[in-house]
Amino acid sequence: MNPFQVVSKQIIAQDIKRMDIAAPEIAKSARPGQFVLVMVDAGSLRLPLPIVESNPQKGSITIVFKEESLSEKKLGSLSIGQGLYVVMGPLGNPALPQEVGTSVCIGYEVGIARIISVSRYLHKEGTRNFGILGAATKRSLIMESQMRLSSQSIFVMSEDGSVGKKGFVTDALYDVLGRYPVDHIFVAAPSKVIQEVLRVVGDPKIKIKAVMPPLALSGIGLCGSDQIKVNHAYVAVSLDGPIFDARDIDFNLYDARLKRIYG
Amino acid sequence: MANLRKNEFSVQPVAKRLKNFSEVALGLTKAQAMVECQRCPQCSTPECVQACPLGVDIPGFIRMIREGDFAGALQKIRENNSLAGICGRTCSAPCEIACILNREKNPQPIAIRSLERVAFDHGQGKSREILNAQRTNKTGKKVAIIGSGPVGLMAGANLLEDGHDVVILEALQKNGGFLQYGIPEFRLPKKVLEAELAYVSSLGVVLKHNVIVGQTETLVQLFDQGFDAVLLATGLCFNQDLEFLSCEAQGVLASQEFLFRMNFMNAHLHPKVMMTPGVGEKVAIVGSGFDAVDCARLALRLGKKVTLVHDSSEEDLQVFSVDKLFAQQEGLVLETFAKPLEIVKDAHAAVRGLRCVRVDFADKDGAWKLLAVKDSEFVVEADTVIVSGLYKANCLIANFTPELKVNRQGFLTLKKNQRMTTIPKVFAAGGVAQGILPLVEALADGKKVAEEIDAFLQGRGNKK
Repeated sequence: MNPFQVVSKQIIAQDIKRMDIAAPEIAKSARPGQFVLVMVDAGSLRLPLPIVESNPQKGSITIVFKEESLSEKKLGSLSIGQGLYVVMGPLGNPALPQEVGTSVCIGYEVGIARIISVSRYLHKEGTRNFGILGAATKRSLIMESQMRLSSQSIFVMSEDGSVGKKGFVTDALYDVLGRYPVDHIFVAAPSKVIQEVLRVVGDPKIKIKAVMPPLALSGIGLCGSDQIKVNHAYVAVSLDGPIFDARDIDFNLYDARLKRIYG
Repeated sequence: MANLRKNEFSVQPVAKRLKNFSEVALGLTKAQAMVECQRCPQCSTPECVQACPLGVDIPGFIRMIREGDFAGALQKIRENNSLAGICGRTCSAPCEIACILNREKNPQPIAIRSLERVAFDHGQGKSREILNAQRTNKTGKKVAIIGSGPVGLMAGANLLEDGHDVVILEALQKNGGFLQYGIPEFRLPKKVLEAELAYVSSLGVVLKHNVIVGQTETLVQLFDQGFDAVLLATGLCFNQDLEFLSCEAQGVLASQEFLFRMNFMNAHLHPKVMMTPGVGEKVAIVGSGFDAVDCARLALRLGKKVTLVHDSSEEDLQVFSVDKLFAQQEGLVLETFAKPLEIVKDAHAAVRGLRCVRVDFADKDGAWKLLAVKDSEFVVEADTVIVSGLYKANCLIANFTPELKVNRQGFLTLKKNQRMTTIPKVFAAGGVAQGILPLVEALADGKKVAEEIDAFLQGRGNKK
């Protein structure tokens, strides 16, 4: 009945699922860093989820999400062939960085799903791209191989040492910054981790972009619920985001807004 | 306080309507309507028709209702106004102000809006076949309309009657735009909107949803698909440039967000649906328009304590007197002549109240102005503050189409005395070009732009 069918579904880590959804129009127009709004049925929340991959030939997009809230669990419980009520998109301002020499893409747990389209774009443009993947433990690390394919080399860090090196993403970043002349950092992680990254990077010449968890209610700037503060001015995530200059974001307000809509 | 006129519709009792979200005004019965019609003097030069921006033949349809021909009356209205059911409920009724019976010592204008509603409620479903047969020869031209709000629907219906193929593209999953998410069920039932949408699509307008023009499809792609003209009727969106929301307190909402949650996501059904209303127990609302009063009445139905803070007199509330009366009956506390100063927060940045100051008319330099009264500050206790009136033109498409120019006021730049934008073949009408308009004016704008597009497609010069 619903037009947006689930084409495939995969559990890729603990509580994290990957889903291909038939949405030919969105697959054609999606660009790196953008997201979609998903509603499972008329009663569920409008979940904003990053577009991990889009396949115009097959007419499908790939989303990755962590099953935390009830709406996400409902989405995860869909089986192949079932349809979604709404898939609206693509939303947000795409990340199309120009003339990047050396870049680092940092992803933490489910944040890796947000960074991967950017990383892939950078790699395709001929950038020397390093990937740093972080997770609390092995069971919450995702998409390591995809990240490896889109980077010159990757560093895997886990807090308990169960995969890769034991340590934090900032340790690996410290290493990379010491060895290479990095000029762009893209980071998709919880606010606390981004703030740690900001602390490690001392050089103000290095641009740090945060790929924030998307945030939208109407998705087209109607209702003002996705207003956040960047550089002391209000902007709408669904129109100007979800990629912002990490040094300018008011993280407290961002987290509060996320909690208000989805908490 | 306004009183309901004689022969006015019956309403839901207050105690009952506070427990449901269905329509408050129940409308005239057939018999009441026929009696009301007999009061119409059927002027030879009807002032009501001149006052109506859409030019509906008001004495004409009243005559038909008088004879009991409701389907005929609806047919008559739809000659000029394809959205009779919506206008019959939410039109600001300039015709009633112009009615000559409004000029007597005891003004009692004909209840034209209620009669229009009766014509829709009782005449629906019978006039469709006639209209379909009336359709003129097809021109083979295709028009894409962006936004399925009142302007888009009106322009679509009119362009279709001119013989063009019309596709309306909507970004959200339901058509109707502001009618869908902006006007609550108790003023415009979704059933009526669905009926109107069904009528418009039965005429032959193709309604598409989940298409964001600019993102899913660009304007260039639309022209590549063979559209001969595009109408931007994207209406209004949230205005982040206004200062008032610049406070990080938890519990400050824009009226649009509350309306969207309630009307579009059906948050009043929570926990059956996952969307929550997002308001606390005590709600303070800032504003004076329909959005403010609608938010207040929705919150009252959720069982909240609601205070409306308004910086002028009660008469200055920009809502119909009937709706103001309804709101007060339902328990709305009005704080008139109070100007909000700041939001009172506690240590956890949660809203605790709204600090206001009394204002009064004062003669400063010979001009009557509203000035703050000394030492009159007070705090309205609230855990949620809803701010209304934060609107600006929805120029989302301009973000992706640099050729589309936006003027200093934030509206799309139009050519002089025209409704064409800076890109040829792209037109704009309604909120996106003119800002906040009363519904009937917006509909009239939609009708005019349809004429202009028709003239453009037929290769005729513009009349203006």
